[in-house]
Amino acid sequence: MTGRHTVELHHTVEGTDPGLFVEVHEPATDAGLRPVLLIHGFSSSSKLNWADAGWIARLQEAGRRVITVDLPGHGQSGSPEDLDSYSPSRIRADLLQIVIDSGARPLRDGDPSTGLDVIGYSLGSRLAWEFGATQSELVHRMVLGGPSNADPLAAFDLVAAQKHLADGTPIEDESTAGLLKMAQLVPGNDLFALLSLIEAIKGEPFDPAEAAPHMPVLLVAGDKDERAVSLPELAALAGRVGGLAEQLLVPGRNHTNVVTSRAFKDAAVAFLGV
Amino acid sequence: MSETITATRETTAAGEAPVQQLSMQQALNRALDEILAANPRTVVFGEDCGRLGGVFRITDGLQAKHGEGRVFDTPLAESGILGMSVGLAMAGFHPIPEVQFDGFAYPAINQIVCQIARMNYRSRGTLPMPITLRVPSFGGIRAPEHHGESLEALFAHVPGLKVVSPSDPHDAYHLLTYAASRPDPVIFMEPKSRYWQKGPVTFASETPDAGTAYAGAAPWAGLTGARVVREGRHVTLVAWGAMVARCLQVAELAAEDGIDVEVLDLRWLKPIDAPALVASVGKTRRAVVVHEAPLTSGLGAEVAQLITQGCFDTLKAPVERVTGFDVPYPSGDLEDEYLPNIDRILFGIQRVLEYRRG
Amino acid sequence: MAEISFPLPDLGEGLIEATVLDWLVSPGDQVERNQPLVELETSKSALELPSPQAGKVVRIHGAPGDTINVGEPLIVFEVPDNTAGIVGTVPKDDAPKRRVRLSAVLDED
Repeated sequence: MTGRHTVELHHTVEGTDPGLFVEVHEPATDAGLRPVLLIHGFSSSSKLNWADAGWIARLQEAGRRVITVDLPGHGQSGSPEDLDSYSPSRIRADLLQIVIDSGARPLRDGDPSTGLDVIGYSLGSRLAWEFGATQSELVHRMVLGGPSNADPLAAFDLVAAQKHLADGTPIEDESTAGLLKMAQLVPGNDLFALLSLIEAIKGEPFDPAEAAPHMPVLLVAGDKDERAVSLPELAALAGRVGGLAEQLLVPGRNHTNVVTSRAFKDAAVAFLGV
Repeated sequence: MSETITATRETTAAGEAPVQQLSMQQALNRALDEILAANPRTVVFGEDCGRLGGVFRITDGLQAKHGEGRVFDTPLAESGILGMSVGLAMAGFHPIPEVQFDGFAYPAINQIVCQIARMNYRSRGTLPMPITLRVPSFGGIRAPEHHGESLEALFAHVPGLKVVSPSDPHDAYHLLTYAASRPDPVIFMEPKSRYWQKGPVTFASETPDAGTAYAGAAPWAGLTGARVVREGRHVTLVAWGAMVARCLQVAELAAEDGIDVEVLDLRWLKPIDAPALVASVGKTRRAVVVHEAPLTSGLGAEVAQLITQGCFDTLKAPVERVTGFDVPYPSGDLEDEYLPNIDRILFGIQRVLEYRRG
Repeated sequence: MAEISFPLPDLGEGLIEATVLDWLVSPGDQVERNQPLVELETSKSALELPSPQAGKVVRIHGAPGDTINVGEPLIVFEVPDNTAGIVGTVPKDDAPKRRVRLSAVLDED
């Protein structure tokens, strides 16, 4: 089953259709376990983050049913005009509707086909963290790759970016310049949609302490990723609410290239395979 | 046309010339290699023919050996491949272009029909078109659309073209060598499902005077007409390309039931070796034509007419046709349902056996 | 046996080179079509390159950290001579199976 998340086929949240591109990837042999939702990172897509990097094939091989969603303004999803469609809370609501429509059912003791596993990367890990924290009836386990305890997108200098795009004015803030450059590298990106997403995130910046997931979480980062320092802090936050957090540092990898790592995939498949 | 292919039916004398076990792939590769070496005006080209060596490895190693000027890749544009062949032929070259798959020939029909086939005629013999167009043809390899079609009736219908299809490695080697030596355009239909099976290839003696097998005869003697690949008394199966091997299987099975089947490999689909048809069916008095192409206006109709014309008084039954269906060639998963299979051919034989006049 | 060299393919979107992160196969390995061969990093993302075909790995080009340009050799396979081309599969020569039996009274008139 593949296709666009549309009004005809799916429910909408708050009456508007965010036009998110959803695909469900069936395994050749189903292990009978709950589906796995994959949430990609900023300026990426389900194709770049998960398909090309070999995640979907790896999970299918493990008998897992995989749900991928392109975030608004990314991949094959639409770029809604309204700002609200980009807000993290709205995206989480859309994700919830999508996974329910794709067959995920609330967790029931003793039935491994119920519930939902989630793998996020970068911005996707932030969304997963909050999603898991608010959906403990549904989410079974989560793997959060390249997560951050701060919010690099909330610190993004939108005005400088817009000026730069308009007339080439150099961007002073290094993180802003880096993120914009990353976004520009993918020709398919709708830059203005991505800026809308950043604007919406600024309205709802990430605060991992506000609500932490209770279910077991595996935190993964490359040891050359400067966000790797977040892992112990996030693990502590999860531990404080009774969650079990494991940590994995992948040697030699950074925020971009840990995504294809075998160690990351093997750990994720094993962690979720229970 | 500047010459007529005559129905010579000599077979090569065995034993004298060296024999090697080769696949049709290897036999064609060797033939091209030798043609390139022998004739400096030969050029070989097509999609992936150069660096890759062809999607079926038929031109494997030829670019490295003969250079990028003589064996080369073309853009994905069949009209350009054949259009360029016209220009090269006008300039005195002997092009051997490849259309990568049967169904890819459609975009080049204009160049084939309106230029290659009639340039010699149009120029009153001043611009011959010594072009051998290789077309990996027919089905049987589970490929997608446009990779399993049988275009022989289309080509055979065009005045000015000769059409030939080998059924085994020996014929592939010799027929290609022969086709490339002709001053006229030849459509060379390679049965792609038979590329990999090995068979004995008898070569002309490598030292001119050592062998006597071809003494006094051109090496292609016996290759210009049809060939009886199995002799029989009760019914003639007429086939070409990959269907020849299937008909031989059917003949073995029919023998279990006491029916003695003759199998005639037509080889040349234009011009058709009518005397060979008449000689075979005149003996067996029953005929079944087998081809992969759709039934309606297929070459089987032409064959049936030639047999009827030559054997009307002795035929015991109307000529049967066992063919593909009048539908677009199906996807690979369904091709076993489409292609003439053992049972359909046996059933065709049963029909001509059962027929009674009156 | 024949060798087939596979160059770094066009990775799309104007990318002209990639850096090897890790090889997932070694010379001597028998690989299947679509089996991941190598992890690569481009200026845009990291990806796994699936094998374009089945065959035995003869050579690999580029150690982890090396940059390879699009079109340069990446991996060389050894394939049997009777391997199909890029399209289709080699048909199997199965023993013929039949359901139809022939029956005829052959009057030799």
